[in-house]
Amino acid sequence: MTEQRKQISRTDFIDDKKSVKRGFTFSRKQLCIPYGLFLAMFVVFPLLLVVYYAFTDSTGTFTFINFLDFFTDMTKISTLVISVLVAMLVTLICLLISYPVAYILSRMNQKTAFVLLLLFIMPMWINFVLRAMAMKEFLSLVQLPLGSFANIIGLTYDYLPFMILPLYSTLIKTDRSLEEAAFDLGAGKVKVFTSVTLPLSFSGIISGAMMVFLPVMSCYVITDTFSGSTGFTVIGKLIAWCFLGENGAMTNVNGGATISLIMLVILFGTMLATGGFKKESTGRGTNI
Amino acid sequence: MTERIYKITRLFVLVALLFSIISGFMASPVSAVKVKAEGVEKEITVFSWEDYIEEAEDDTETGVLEDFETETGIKVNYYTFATCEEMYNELKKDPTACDIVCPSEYMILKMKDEGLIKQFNMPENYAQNASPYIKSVFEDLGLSDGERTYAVGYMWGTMGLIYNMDKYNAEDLNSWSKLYDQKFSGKITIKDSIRDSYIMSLGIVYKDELLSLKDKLNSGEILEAEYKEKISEVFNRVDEKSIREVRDALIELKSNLYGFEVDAGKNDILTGKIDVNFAWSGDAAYAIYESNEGEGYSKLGYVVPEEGSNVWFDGWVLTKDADEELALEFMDFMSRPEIAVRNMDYIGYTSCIAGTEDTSVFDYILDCYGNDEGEYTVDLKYFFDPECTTDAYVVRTDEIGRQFSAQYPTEQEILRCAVMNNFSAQELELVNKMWNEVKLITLSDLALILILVLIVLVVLFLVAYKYFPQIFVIKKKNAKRFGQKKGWKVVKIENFDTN
Repeated sequence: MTEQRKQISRTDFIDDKKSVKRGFTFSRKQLCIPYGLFLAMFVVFPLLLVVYYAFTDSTGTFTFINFLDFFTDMTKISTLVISVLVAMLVTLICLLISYPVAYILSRMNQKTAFVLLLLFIMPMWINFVLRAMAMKEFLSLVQLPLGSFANIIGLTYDYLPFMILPLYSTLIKTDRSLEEAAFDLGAGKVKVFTSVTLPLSFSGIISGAMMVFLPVMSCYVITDTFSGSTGFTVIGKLIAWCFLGENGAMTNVNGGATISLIMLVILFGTMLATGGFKKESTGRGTNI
Repeated sequence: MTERIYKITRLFVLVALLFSIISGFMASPVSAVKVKAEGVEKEITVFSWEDYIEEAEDDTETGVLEDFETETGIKVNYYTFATCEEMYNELKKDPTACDIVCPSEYMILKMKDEGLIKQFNMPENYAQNASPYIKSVFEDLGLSDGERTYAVGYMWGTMGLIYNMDKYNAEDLNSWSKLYDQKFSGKITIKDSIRDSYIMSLGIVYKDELLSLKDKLNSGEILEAEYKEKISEVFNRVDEKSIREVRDALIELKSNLYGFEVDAGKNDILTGKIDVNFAWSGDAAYAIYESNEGEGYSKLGYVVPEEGSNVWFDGWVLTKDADEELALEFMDFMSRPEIAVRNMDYIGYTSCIAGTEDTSVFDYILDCYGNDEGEYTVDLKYFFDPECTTDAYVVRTDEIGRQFSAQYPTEQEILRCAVMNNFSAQELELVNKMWNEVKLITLSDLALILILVLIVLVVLFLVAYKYFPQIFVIKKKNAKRFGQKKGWKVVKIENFDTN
């Protein structure tokens, strides 16, 4: 009996035109192919190239000389260290500014909050070079000299939305009843915040920090705009110099690849340190 | 059976998709420069600086390139670059990418040494019309022997300082070392370009030597030729001591600067953001012209400091595999005096073309700067015809120290300007390192260690917080529960029956 029914349904399936069409749908695996291809071409292949260039000299023979060059040059090491320090500082400032903002927004009437959030996010729709130039004009209007301080302001200004957004989306998703429960159990406002709200938004802090910390280290366009003659420059500028050979400098693809590789190591280090690879129940993927 | 057909079809579709994506990548030009369509009989590819050839300003006019196309029937593929190094990299990747390139003199020398460009017979118009001065410089550089040449000159100029004439006068800036003056603090920009800033700093470092040479020339102790040779030697010093001193001079200068730029300077000085700008003469001519025409701008001036400066040339060269006949026709066209005037008028730089029978270049100068009641007289015969014994090339003008000086330096000014040779690979490496030290901040060992320790601490904290959170849980001894604080009694219910 069942055999027969199966037989019938099978013929139905074939005869029905709609079902025939359904036969052309791609499986999940197959749908991954275009993206996989993209990934291979634009992520994996360039990465392999970076590794290849970092370990070869201009004639293509295997060597460690590029790393030796980098780690014996005080100027380059200083730039790297300054970049990391600056990135940390900017991340911290961004966090200090955006956490209260995100917190208040997430506790507001959602309609008002949406409008306010838009105001914070809107600068992200404008190209960051334009924003930097506008900020530069503003700084010259308030008579603030260009330099390292202006650099920090510029970087903070440009990366603030990247911090607010993940924090907001984490905070809005936290279960308010947990805070209420803590409150009911007698915790004060501060205690509720430090023991419940803050730990619950930790994943948002991490993803916001990652979105600020890593790009700041390579964002040399902003430091170019704000540093004037005395301000610091981030490590990204060195890479750009190596590859573009800007304005009379010679190109050094191998040296540039080496710095890029060092940056990659730092990137993975940061991911490890902040647990970016760890599976979390809160799911970092939901944040942005 | 049918199911298998579906599978095969599906596979086929996927493979087709794959191929279309791959072929899409393959078809895209490997080099941004090369687009050589097949089947078009006569065409040349020109690779030049941005904004370096006259273009039509509206539909009613035609640009120089269109005129060339209609006259000769040769199609021009025109591509531009922003720095010589960018062009060089492009050409290194694909030497057949273009036929004609317009690099600066040091890059021409470098390309000549590397065999990227070839020698050709001087185009007729150029041989006839080019300035004798330019020709002799090209011969001195070993680029030409009068008949065969590696390059034909296009534009040339000096480097100097544009300054705000409302606030300062030329005496305030007659020496490179005056840039250290506190009154310019935060109001100067210099070039974010190694070669240009290097030659300027040589002027600072070897100030005394250069000035004493000048005194000797003035007192008649040495002749012009010897003077020229000696300053050229000074402006081409790249030994370790010079590089070190240049580095120190630039680092010291940094605190007095507004910043480094390559493009923004001419606008910044117009808007009054800065007062002094180390600039190419063409940019100076542009800025001064704008300050004259526009409303509300300060009066600007141009000065080549007494120690001397750099004189530079851009020229057309032929790449190794270029079609010589067509390319020469292009160079010939560009060397016509009336075309030179059109380009000059459009871009503001000074053409290498002087013109002998055709006097349109000199007429253009008279038209722009000539003034019969002018305060100054300038003899430009060094540029047009050194053997001239009459006043044929004397210009009466008011524009000295301004746009005219930027476009056509006086003979005295050009005498103290030197051509800068190409750095060798080792020299370039040293100069590059020096530039990094100037532009970037080098920390002292102590500061470096302190910052490193700070970074390590932060990282350790993060790792600890993430992986061993129990460390941060502070356990208070005898912590009282909430109820106890308020004197409530905590009653332990035994045998609590949930039912």
